[in-house]
Amino acid sequence: MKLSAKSEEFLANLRMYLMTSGKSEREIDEVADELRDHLQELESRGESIDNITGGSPKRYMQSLEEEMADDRAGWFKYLPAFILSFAAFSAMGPAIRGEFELNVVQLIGFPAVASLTVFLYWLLFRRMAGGSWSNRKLFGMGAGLSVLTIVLFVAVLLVGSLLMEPFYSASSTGNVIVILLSATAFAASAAMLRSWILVFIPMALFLPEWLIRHSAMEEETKLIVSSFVPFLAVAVVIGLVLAFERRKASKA
Amino acid sequence: MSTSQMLKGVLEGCLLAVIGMGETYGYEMVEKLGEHGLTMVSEGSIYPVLLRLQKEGYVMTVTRPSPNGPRRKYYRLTEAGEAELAAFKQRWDVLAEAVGQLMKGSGGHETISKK
Repeated sequence: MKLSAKSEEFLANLRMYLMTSGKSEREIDEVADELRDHLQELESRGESIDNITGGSPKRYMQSLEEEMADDRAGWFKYLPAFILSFAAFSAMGPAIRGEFELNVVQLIGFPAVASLTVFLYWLLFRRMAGGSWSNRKLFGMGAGLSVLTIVLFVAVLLVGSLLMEPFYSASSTGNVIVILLSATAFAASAAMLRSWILVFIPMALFLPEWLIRHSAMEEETKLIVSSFVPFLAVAVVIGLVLAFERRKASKA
Repeated sequence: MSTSQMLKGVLEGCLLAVIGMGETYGYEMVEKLGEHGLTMVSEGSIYPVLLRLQKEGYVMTVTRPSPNGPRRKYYRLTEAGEAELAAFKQRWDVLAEAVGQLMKGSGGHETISKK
């Protein structure tokens, strides 16, 4: 039996809330399954989710949070995968364009911006899960944060390349090595997280760019095509993944 | 104070008693409490308590598929749970007796003062 949209939303928010407070994944799954079972019974009798939460989802989530065991170490296991894929994402683009360089501003700035971004997203997810936001507010905050992230990254990139001399500029062999290392890093993080999306998204983002650069098109055409094809490819990949997940969910 | 609010304080003992009647799961516990006249505004409030009972080792759980699909978690009392239930019953008897006495007394006092 399918649950109402309101109940599904509550379960998704509950998961998000408990995840952002560092609870054990196994325990989160157990509680969510238990509540799903209860909600199905309620809804088959025509009653609503307010019978579970007493009208305040946030207060209810907090009452569960207080009784659940912390498992911060369990979540820290994702850190290496995050660092690897982040480094690979920042390195692969310039390496494909044959411009991989390192300078001090970027070496310090990128990790700093990445940590700040992770913190802000954590805050966003936590507020969102507890707050039952409207779609408009959710979209606004999400879009705002994405823009802020891009602005910060570009700022570090510009300041680094305009004001600083690189202490390392890769030769053409160097660039190939960086590409191979980045690809390995993506594969390794995908294996660590058991999620193929970390292979498909970089492939969608970088493979078209690489192919376009090595094609026989004119420079101007290359520039235009490579400005939108990678994003189109990423959108297609995300669409396919979502469709696949939906099919898997409807079969289960 | 509503019955639902009063029940909050003794929910842990009531759930131990319900689970003590035989293996059961979340929704069924709420139904059984309801059969005994114990209704709650927020049925979900049993789950934080069940988590606590589990943490304290008073209950053990098994997960099996339910008739209507999703997995269902069934609860049973452990030996420690049986002992805690017995201790709760004793505490409850003392409390119920004392509150009962007090209520009788206060009722009588009121009628006297009215005269």
